[in-house]
Amino acid sequence: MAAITKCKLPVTNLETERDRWRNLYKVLNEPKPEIVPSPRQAVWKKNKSVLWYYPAQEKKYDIPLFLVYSLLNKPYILDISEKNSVVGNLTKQGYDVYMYDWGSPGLEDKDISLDNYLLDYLEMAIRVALRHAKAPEISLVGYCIGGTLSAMLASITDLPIKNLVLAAVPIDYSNFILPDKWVKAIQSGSLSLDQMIDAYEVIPSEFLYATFLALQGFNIGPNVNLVTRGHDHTYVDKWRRMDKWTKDAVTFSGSAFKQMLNDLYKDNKLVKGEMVIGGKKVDLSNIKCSLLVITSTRDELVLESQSLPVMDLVSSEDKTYQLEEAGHVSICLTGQFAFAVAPWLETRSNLN
Amino acid sequence: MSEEQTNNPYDSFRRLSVMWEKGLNDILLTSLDNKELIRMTNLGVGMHSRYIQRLKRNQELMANMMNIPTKRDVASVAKLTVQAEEKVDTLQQQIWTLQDSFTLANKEQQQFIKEMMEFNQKLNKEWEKLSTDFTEARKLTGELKKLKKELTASEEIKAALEDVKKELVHLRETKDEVDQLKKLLKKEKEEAVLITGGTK
Repeated sequence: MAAITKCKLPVTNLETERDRWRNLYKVLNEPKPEIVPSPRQAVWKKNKSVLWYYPAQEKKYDIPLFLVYSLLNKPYILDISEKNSVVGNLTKQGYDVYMYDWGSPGLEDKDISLDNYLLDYLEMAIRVALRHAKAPEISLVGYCIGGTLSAMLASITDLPIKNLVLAAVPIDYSNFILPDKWVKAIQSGSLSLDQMIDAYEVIPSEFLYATFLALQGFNIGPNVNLVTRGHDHTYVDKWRRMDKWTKDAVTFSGSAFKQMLNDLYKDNKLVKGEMVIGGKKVDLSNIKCSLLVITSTRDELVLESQSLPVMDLVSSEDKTYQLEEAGHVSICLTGQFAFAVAPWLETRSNLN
Repeated sequence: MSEEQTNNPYDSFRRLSVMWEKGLNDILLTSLDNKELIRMTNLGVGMHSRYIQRLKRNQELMANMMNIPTKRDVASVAKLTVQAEEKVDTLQQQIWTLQDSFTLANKEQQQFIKEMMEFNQKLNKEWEKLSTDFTEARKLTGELKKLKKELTASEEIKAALEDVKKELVHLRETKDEVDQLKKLLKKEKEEAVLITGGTK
């Protein structure tokens, strides 16, 4: 028997509607929410970068975590709210966490290249973290471009990296989210941003924000969700935090941006094994530590095909690939990332 | 069978907007994916870059004329701070290397001292053992001396015994002589009786 569905007109719930429009009014008129970080301590500072230390609430593991976020955004998405904080959830699980904030470069940093970022900044920060933690080894957790940088560093450094976690990591740039002809134009050199980078010297945050928006196309989903779920205070709070973070873009050193565009997006040197950092060839097969690669099902910024090749390029015997039901940003925004890495890390972090 | 559903306009709005978003993005992607637009973008980027460069050059010229510092001047000063920081970092690394070598040297020294102490303890134990042995040896020597003395004493006894033995032999000889004398006396007595009987 076929089911007959009768539609009834909605009964307006006044309380829900009042909450919805009150929250929408707040979003439009009130200042953006203040992001209060988890208890932390600055361990090392260099130029605009800061190495933050988040002590474990009850230390359970000997091996600390070192989080490397993307150079394109601010890392506080990993500690966006008390409930949904990736960092907070990791410290609750008993890990000492270090997070490296690259900072937003100024004109004086226009010549900072990826070589500098990796060898003078990231490698040094990990050394400081190792010394500070008095730990023999460390787990390196890289997200997005931070993952690419972590993989590069892991293949050229002598640092004792026990575990390497790469999440939403672009490694293979033979294809990326731009339309095909644009990808080909960049790869063939018929579309080049070198002259613009030289002119600007430091890429303005507005340019990166505009690029981020352009890549998303007609991204009306978040605004529609805000209206439809406007009565849900928790959702609105999360939305406002996300909105703040999205618009709080960073600048990018011209030299590093040019290197990234030419060496990665144009020539795909990392996969080809032609990338050179500090005079050393970046050979991903030098990575022998335990490896976890995480991708998200709804990631619209980094394709799964960009992350997967790393599984075959490394020499690690202990390597795991994990697909999470999430989006590129939502995996961090909801704190899900902490629970995605925890089961894999707990057996590899020396329970004390 | 019939099901009753309350129509939520927000849900419908959301579903509709998702559909619209997808459709519009597909159109956008298709319309953007053309070589002409890429060529135009490249030209636009070039023009914009030249404009920015000219703007910066003019800004510098104006600032020079008015004798006011530009962002570039501030950046140069900031760079000095960064350089100083880098020097501090280098120093810190050197201090760490020194600390590490000190720690290593300290560890080695401690190991050496530990080994020395162990050796000393062993030596002490050996010494104690030796002194015990020595005391025992002394005791043994004393006992040996005593034994020697006793031996000397026993030799004297032996000599005395030999004397006694000799005396005993002598006594036995005397006894034999006495016995012979006795026999002779007896014989003489018997002969005297015989003589006396014959004369009667």
